[in-house]
Amino acid sequence: MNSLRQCRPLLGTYVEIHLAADEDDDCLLDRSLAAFEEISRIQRLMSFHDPESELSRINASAHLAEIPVSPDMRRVLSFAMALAEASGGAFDPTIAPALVRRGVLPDHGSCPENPADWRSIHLGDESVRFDQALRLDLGGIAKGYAVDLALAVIGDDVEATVNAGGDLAMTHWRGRDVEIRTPASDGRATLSVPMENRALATSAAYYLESEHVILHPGNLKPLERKDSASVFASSCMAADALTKVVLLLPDPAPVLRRFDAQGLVIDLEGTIVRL
Amino acid sequence: MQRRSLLKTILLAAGGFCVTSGQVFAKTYLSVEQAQKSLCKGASLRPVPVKLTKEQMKSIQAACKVRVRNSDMKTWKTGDGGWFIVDQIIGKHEFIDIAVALSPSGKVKGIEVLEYRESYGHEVANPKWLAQFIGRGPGKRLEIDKDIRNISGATLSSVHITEGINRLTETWAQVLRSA
Repeated sequence: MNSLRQCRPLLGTYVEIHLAADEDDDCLLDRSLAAFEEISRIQRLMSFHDPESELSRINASAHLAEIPVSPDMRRVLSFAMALAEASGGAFDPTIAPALVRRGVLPDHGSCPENPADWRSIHLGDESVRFDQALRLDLGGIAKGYAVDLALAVIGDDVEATVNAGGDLAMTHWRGRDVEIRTPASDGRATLSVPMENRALATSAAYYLESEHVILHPGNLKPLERKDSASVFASSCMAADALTKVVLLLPDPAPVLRRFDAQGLVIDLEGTIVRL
Repeated sequence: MQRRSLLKTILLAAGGFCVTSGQVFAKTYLSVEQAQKSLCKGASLRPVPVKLTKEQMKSIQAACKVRVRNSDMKTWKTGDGGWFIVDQIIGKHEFIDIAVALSPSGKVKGIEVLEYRESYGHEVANPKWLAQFIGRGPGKRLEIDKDIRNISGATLSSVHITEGINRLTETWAQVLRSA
């Protein structure tokens, strides 16, 4: 079996693709490049930092008029809103203005001061409209979605893993082990656990570099937990978004069950608590 | 071709770096030839090694505020006047070999990570620190000595790569453009 491992800086992190199949290097490289192209496409659509992205165009004017949305944007937004509803707003894609004020996200001009939440978003079949000026940020979910699409482009006939800086998904996941960075030692040591579903994502509030932060939608204060949250789910989009719910909700188990996901928390001593 | 990631102990001093003593794990990705295929598909490439003078290094460093460490550049020129560069970036905890393709007008066409080395803190070598992970039951073990395949953790930032790219585009503007 031949294998190929490729890594590019994308989505603000290092995206790694690992492929194994009875194919020559050129075939594997073509598959890998197609997957990276898909991730770049999602980055162009959903980047908050890029003022030309579809997301930035929606943010600039969806409070003034109905704005057409791409099928990808519709899928991600629809899931984000379903999760905001299910988690009672613990996950909320409209928290961006608070992140802009903290300098975590860039200000593309006229960032709204008035508080808003996900209930101000009205998503139609092909368009979106806001009740008031707000800023959507898909930072907690679009990375997972990009991983899902990349894996889909590669195809299930190849053993493939896509890992976007910790948000990962694999085709042949049954019986595989995966490493999770522990909160101890700056996250530089890992614990091995069996893979429980196609996708796994991990989030933590403490060892992210200073420009990253998780805010609590209730009080807009930075989360100060010392442990990390990992979620297994059938899609990396769900796993990615649900890690924030695990960190922010006192009892995330019902939400995890509703999305058919399995969660675990690792504390500073390396103890794993299953949810 | 069989690629695998290796966990190796590297004498950091021998590599010219002095960050922390401890272990480093390295992940190897595309070879230089594969990166050329990936970033410059179909283009003809000829090696055009470039040696920066001390004055050029100082001037590039002043313009982009990133330290220029090496005078010998691994550079190839494409038929249309673009460049393919193999370079190394030094981040906070990591050393990254990259390949960058520049268009004839000095725009970044693409970036490949060729090798990524991350140093562990000295605590990993400390038996007391290690002991906390031992004997915790099935499905839980600390992995530091084997091929680390898939790691999930709080997102690593790729911000250091931006500094390296700024240095290379400045090098293009001052040197490669007329080379």
